[in-house]
Formats: sequence, structure tokens, C-alpha cells
Amino acid sequence: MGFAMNEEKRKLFSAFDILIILIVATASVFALLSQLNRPDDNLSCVIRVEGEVVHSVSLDKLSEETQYVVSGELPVTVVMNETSVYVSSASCPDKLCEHTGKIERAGQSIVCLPAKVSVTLESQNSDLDAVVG
Amino acid sequence: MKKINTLKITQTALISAVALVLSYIEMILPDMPFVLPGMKLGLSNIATMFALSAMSFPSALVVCLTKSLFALLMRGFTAFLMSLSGGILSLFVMYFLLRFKRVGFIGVGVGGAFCHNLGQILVAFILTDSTVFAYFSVLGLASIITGTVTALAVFIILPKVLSLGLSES
Repeated sequence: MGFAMNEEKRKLFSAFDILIILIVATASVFALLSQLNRPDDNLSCVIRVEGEVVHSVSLDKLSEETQYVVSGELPVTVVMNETSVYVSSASCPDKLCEHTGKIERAGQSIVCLPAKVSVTLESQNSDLDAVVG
Repeated sequence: MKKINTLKITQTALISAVALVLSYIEMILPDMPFVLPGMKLGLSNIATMFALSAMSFPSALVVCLTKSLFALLMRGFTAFLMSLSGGILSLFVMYFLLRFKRVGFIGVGVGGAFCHNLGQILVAFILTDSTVFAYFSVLGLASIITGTVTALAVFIILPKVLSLGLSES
């Protein structure tokens, strides 16, 4: 009862741990590679609320900076220009989406969890999710 | 009727309190913007892992639930869901890993940290859409570091606490 004594003999690091770390690292690196190999031209900005697309615009067609306000309980203001997209103001308490800063490559995204809003840059000229090679 | 163990209750409460302090420290620490906004060190995982390795699964579950409740009170419902999903999944995985005598503390810590992130991403996916999987790679790599830090802390603290002779016997 109380504090158990059976963990005292456990090692800090063992061969099994290397295996666990390798599994975690491999999964992460695979995920990373699938993100990096995306084409960056013909970007379009897709804004979703709870998974539903509410606004989608091709960045090439924007000649000047435009704003889109996602209305709702927690309004989120998204600013888009020809090369990048960022969240200029959000009414959520933690402001993580604002702190994400500018995104300018396909596959990058800004997520505001409290407002359930996601902003994604998607490449239009490719229907491939990933190019491995 | 099963006898209620006062010592066990007190120890669980003590570790829960430590978990809350660690959660609070983590909350007031600035974000690590150079990595990913919203990424945390996972300091309070030290308390969960300690409860799990020094005490029992039910005790660790209480610590985990207390942490989630704290997140609900301090940061709202979304934070509560994030804390709960990550906490419960990592708890089960750490419990599973601890059953193997040959898995080291670092293995348990990294496995737990990774599944903490995984649980959170899964709930974030339910709340929004598949966009959140973009966070998977960075969070996955980060869990190797944060998991190791957690494991080191538990490895250092555990023998010291056990040597205090707080066991009932």
C-alpha cells in the first residue's frame, strides 16, 4: 500500500526505449516529408468552420490585401494577400492562431480551436496529397 | 466493505496538487513560438507518470482528471477536452508500457508524451477537420524531447520519495 517499491529497479534507458523513440521519430518524419513535398503555386486559401468550407479564394486573383471575417461566437479575422495569409485578430482567449503568423506554402494551416476555425493553403493544380521521392 | 486507505488518498491528493502547480507554471510560461504555437513542455505529465509508477493506475487517473478539471476552470471547455483526451490516452499507454520490466523510464515517458499529443490531435480533428494533422510531425518529434525530460524528472524524484519511507508497513 502507499508508495510502491517495485519501480526502483527500473532502468532509465533500455534497448526497448530506442525502439519506442524510433517508432515515434519515423512516424513524425514521414508526416513531415508528406507536408514538405507539396507544390506552392496556384495557392488557394480555404477557410473552414467545424470542417465545413465557408470561404475559398485563389490567392493569385487577389490584387490587394483583403479581409475575411468568420462570424460566430468567437469572430476570427483572416487577412489574405497574393503571397500569404494570416489571422489578424481573434476573439479567443489564447490567441494561438494570431501567434501562428503568416503562412505562405501549400499544406500550411492556422487553426483556432475555440472558434473551431481552420485556415488552410491548398494547391489547386495537384490532386496529390504527397509526393515521395 | 473495502477499507478506505487514508494514506493512499492523502498521497493522491498531494500529487494532484503538484500537478496543478505544474499546470499553472506551464500556463504562465510564454509559448515557444520558434517551434509551434500552442506547444507545451508537458510539465504536469511528470505528476501523472510519478503517480503511475510510484502508486497505482486509479491514483494516476485521479491526478489526470484533476488536471483536466483545472484546465476547464482556467482555460475553458476546449482546453478541458484537450487535456482529458491527451491525458487519458497517455495514461493508458504509460500503464501498458510500465507492465514491461525491461522498458526504461525514457521509453515510458516518450510513449506517454507522444500519445498525449496524439489524443489531442484526434480530438482537435473531431472539433475541426483534417488540417490539424499538419501539427502531427512537429508535435511527434517534440514528444521525444518532452518525454525524455519527464522521464528524467521521475527517475530522479522517485528513489528520493521512496526512501522517505512513506510506505505503510
